[in-house]
Amino acid sequence: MHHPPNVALLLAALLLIALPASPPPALADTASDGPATFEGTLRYVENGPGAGTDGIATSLFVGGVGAPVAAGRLQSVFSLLSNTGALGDNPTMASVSELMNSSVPVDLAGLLPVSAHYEARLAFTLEQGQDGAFALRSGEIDWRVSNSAEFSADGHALTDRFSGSGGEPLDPAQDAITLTFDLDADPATYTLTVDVSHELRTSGESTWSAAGGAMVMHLEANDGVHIMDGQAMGQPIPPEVVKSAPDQRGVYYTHTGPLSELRYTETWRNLLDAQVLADYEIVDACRGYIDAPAADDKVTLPACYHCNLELDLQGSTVPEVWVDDVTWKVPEFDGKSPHYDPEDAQGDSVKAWFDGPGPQKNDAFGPLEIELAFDEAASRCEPPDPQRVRVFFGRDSYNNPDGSVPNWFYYWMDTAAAQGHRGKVIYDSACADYGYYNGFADASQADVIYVGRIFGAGNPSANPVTGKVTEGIDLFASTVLHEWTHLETYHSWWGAAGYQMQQDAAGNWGPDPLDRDFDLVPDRREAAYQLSPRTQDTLGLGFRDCEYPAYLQEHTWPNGSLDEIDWADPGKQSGS
Amino acid sequence: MKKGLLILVIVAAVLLLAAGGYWLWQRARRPDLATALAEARRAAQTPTPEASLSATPAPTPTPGLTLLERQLTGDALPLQYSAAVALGERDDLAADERARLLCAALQAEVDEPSTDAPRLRDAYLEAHEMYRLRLTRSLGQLGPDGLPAVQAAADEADGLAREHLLVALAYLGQNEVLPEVRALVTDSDDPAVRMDAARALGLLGDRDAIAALTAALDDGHCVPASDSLGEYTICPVRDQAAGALDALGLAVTRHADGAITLEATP
Repeated sequence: MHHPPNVALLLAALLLIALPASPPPALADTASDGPATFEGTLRYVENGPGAGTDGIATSLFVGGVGAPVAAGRLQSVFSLLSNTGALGDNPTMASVSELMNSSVPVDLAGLLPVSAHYEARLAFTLEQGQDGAFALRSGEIDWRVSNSAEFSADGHALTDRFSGSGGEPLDPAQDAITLTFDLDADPATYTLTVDVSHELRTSGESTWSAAGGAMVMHLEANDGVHIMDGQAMGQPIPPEVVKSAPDQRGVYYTHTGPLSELRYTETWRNLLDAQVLADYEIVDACRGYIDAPAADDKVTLPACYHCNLELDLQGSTVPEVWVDDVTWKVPEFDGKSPHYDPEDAQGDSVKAWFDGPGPQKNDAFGPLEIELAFDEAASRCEPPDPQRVRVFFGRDSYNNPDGSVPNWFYYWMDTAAAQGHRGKVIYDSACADYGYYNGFADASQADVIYVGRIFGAGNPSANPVTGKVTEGIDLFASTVLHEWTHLETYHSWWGAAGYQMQQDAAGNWGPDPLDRDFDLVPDRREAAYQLSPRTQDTLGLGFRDCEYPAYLQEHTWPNGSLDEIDWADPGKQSGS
Repeated sequence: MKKGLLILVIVAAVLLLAAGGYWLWQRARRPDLATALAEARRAAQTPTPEASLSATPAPTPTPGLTLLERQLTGDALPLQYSAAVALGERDDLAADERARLLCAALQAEVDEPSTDAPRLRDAYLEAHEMYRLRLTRSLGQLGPDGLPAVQAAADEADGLAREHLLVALAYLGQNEVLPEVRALVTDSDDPAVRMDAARALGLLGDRDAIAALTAALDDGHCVPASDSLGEYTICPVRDQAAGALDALGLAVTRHADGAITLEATP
């Protein structure tokens, strides 16, 4: 057919418009380093008839009674197909099974003298193909099965005892796990289909004794290979291999649901009335999480002397199946290694602790990084970033190595708050005030200062001269500075001779002759401080003149300068 | 025929364009998988609480009147004391406003003394006594701009609050109040008022106060005390009277038993 040139051009233009608009595969957000992937786990459990099928009795009962029932139920599938309205949208395995089983209302699990359990755990990686669907790339299956039966009547006795377990990789050529999405649906849905199988290598034995033992059949299984022997009327039946290779056991499951159900659990009765559980989780990546302590959490040492750092560690994994595959690692604390409960430090809930008492040094406190690592799943799962917590000491506890002084005194003396006077600052638990200097009364104590129960004396505290308010570690540092000023002024003012108190005829102690107003400041030095040699309290604010230089000096302490190394709780960084 | 074919092709083209446009519109509306999953996951997850701890506190700004008032009217005496000191020194803030706050704080302290507050470090006075002295002293630092407000407060006040305000007016150089302040040295029931009145008179060089100050050398209020350097006994009114007399050029002698006597004039 001949078209005019303008028509041909028009058709060509239409093709150019239409072709680019044809629908592309529904690709997910693919990373630059390869196709998009999902990680998944599935736990599939059967409990009841048919879950395990080894043995003479099990075969007889499940095959002889269970099979007709199952067949009858299967027939209901045909009526089901013509009556889909009964199932609604996205029917589950449970809803389908319930409808089918209602057609033959018999409880095989209660009827048959067999018990069986099968459990499979699958972990798999799905990879997106060109068609947009995700298919099995790799994975493993771990399974275990057991079944038993016991029946006796009229001289017959049947017993089965079989079990097995194993694990093997999934084979994308033989096994199928697919995940497809329907993003046009409202809401968007996905469909997961699992169809995998594995060799059922079981071991065990089965015995059938008939006619009071006149005839005995014995079946023995090793790794799925079955050998049968026995005797009839005293004549042995030679062993014979009745099954030379293990059976294949399949796991089939499918579910369609909204995207919010990428983690899903359902349970139902199958055709043989075994209770089935399917529990799966599909995630775009396998990850571990440290849930507790939280990031930057405050962890305070318990108060008892033999206590030290204790941590209650809580973690989780996505998918959850790997939660027992994680191991915690807490670093050394002040050179000590942690203990764990459980000892292997594995699992989602672990307690870690260190032998007491508390650390030797203040710098042991502060940030501590806790790690959580995957073991078997290390190749497929991403561990969480190390979690930083902040370790504090109880301010008023005594679980420091000294044990006789409160923690605040012990650890703050290990900081710049001590201003280089470590060894010359003594804690006096009997002193309810901030501190004191005893050099005036006892020359043997002229080179030390005392710090009292500063938090009992009042925290925060105001400088009576300048009004400057200090609290916490700043109050401690100010106190050290205040008392040390007394020590220095004592030596500066009174020299080697010290303060010479005088006693009058009546026995009253009076001031040194060089200190007429008895304010402990030499008269000749008072003018330098704009103080009067005639009054004990020149400023008239409620304290002796000897305190004035100490107040001025303590005012110079830079508040907040040690906030970053104050790990007391309560304290500057503890948030309380 | 040709014309009919052309019309047919154009109609087909229009329909094809419309269908393509509709498909593109639908495609644009459809979320991609990553977005859909993220939204579904977000809907299913409980939000994680944000970390509430900050490592470093924000720097403290220089407090304004509002913050100082909040400190002053709070119940932490060290902060109240600190605010009182600041209000006396902060010349960048309006004197009448500072006077208003300090006078109100003084009245509040008189009405409900902070008797439960621990002593300030190394002080021989009770905390509430020191606080009243501090408020009075800060009022006395306000200068002429603060005088009207303090005067007005004194006019309205009575009792202990008025006594402190009179001393504050003396510190502010208001000579009219000196007769009343002289009387306070010996007549006030409050030792903190007596000692502060004595001190103010000495600072002002009020020679008319010599008699009252001399009488105050026999003031019976003496308290055992302790500070960083040990225990001692102090008679604060006598001590301040001695200082005032010394400032007025009169020598005093201290005795080991705590007595203070005026030296004989040569």
